[in-house]
Amino acid sequence: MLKPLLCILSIFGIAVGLLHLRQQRLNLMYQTNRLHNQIESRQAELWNQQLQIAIYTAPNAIQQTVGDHALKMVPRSPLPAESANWLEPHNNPDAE
Amino acid sequence: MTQTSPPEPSALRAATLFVALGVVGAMLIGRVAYLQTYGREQTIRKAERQQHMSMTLQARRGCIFDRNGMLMAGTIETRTLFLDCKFMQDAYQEDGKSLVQMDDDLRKLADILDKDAFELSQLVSDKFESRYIKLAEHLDDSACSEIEKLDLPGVGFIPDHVRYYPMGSLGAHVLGGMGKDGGLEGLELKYEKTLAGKNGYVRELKDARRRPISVAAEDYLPPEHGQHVVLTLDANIQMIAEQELATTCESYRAQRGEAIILDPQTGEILALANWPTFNPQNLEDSLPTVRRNSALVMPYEPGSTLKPFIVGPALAAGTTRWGEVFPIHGPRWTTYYNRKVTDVHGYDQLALWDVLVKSSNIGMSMLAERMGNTALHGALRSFGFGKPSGIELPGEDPGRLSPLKIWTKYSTESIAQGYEMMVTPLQLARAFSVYANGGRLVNPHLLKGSLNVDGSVDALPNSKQSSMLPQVIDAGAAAQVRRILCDVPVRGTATKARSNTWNIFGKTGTAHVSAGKAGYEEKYTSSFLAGAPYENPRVVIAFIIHEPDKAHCLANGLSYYGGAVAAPGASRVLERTLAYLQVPASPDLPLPPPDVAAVLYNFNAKQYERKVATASVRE
Repeated sequence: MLKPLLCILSIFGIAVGLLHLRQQRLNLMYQTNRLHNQIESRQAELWNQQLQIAIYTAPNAIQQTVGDHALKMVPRSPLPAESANWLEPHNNPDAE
Repeated sequence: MTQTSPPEPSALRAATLFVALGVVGAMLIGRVAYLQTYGREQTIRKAERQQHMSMTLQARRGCIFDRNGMLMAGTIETRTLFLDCKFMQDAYQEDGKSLVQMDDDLRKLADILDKDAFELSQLVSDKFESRYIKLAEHLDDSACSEIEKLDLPGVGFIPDHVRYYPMGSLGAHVLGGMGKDGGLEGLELKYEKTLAGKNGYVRELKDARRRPISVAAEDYLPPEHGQHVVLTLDANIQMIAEQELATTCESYRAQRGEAIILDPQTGEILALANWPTFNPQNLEDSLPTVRRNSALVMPYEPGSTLKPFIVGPALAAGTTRWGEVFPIHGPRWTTYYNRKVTDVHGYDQLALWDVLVKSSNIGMSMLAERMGNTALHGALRSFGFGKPSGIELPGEDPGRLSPLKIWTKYSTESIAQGYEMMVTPLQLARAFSVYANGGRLVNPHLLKGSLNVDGSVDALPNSKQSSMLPQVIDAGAAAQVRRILCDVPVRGTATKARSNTWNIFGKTGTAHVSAGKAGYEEKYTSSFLAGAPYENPRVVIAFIIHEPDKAHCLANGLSYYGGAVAAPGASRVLERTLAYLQVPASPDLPLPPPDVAAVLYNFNAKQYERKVATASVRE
């Protein structure tokens, strides 16, 4: 009598264990799926923020902002002149 | 008491029951057989639909960056809102909620979507069997989170991608634009495959409430996002070019204009502007003629800007010298076949140097006759005229350079004055680079390559960049022409283009607009080809203004010549660009060699003195 009972209990235990493992697998896959969606969502947010930054830092946007606020920007002076060999360009490696 | 025996089971009843059970059993077996054979596919499909949900994972279109990493075209993710009407109604019934309550919730949804609540509820009741209705597109994050808070059953979002151009119309003709099926114009069209990427898909296992449970490995194919592309354009220089082009075109009430700025050493295009322009975000708001990239698809007769490309090869071949004096006897000269050639101003004689500086048609005609048609044709061909440059944009026109065999004696003088052939502004800028880099013909290109994860840039396949550039003329002849062209802003036809900071070399052009067989109209194309600084050229510009309003110019005391219309604008672009690139100020321009100075027209050494050594630069 004990042997069949043990067999039945063992089978029941194995079945419960297998079901638990299956449930765990499903849970893990669900978590993976959720995390993947979150990564995708964060990536999309980053793209959108990248674009927002680009909108505000575009040269025409900066110029408009400067104009709207009447900011007095100091014109950039060119660097001082360099000496160069004019008459014979072959002697001046920078010239060619 | 009599005991009654239980009734004998009727054989008939037992047989009936047995047959009935047999029939039912046979039907069940038949049903199983049907489901396993003919009905199998249908059953599987039904189960699939109930348990799984397939979704396309859209690939993100690659971004387009300028040479400094500034975003010129990007992709943002928005959401499309959909509704599963059947699921929604079932869920309300299961939860014991009334249809009135469902209508109330739909009203809240309609408020967020800014739609009519009655229409929305009507739509849901009309399509109560439908599993998918698209309610709204391009929803932003705030709208999505508000809708999510309502927690409506059967409402879901699908990610959707939208192309965005953060700089507005800046670089519009280069970038092109997008339609529903991909790139329509410009780089968006040309690099559709590179930018688009490949969509993926996912097949999720759902529970009874259609919540995702899991995804099997074989049911998930991630999207391959499009490659990011880096251009040679500089957004700041592009802005400068577009602003000055627009200012010039508006001031002179021109029909259209183009500006191209090249790095003459590498062929990299730093700016490519057309006026009028458009916003690539709203392609449907602009005319196709406005969206046309005239800088490479609309050739025109260049006029005098072609002259340096005849003088250079003549000097290189030893056909003439820069100090050779031509007996002009202007302002009219008659060819050997009695064709009249005229100059704007009358000169008795001009050195070759001054033929270019003063843009003498007569002097050029004399030189062209001496060269002959074969040499003339070969020279222009070697500068790349008559064939496409190979730039990475769709629809480039090769221009028109007729085959030598159909040239006539008239061609010699016509070509010498910049007529009877057509060029694009891009071809002119490319050819002019020869004088800025020691005689080599560059490959103009817009693409640096594709951007890697680590920030490095890889050249794309079939890239037009090449280090092996053909030598068109020898470096000495190129340097001579460049020096001559430095006099154009000092004592020639473009004195309004003179810079007090940098030495600019350039050539003006004023060409009649052809009316086909009807001859030429009283309309002009004013242009200026230039480069700077002379001692180490960093940029070359082609600045073309088509059909400035002559009546408006004359009424306001303005001239319609290239030196007056195009040269000042081009000069401003050069000054602002060189200041932005922090190019050192030029040393004083050296005087022409004494033997040449002796034969120059009205030569005065004081003309070379700058007003201010280093003036402040317009920003």
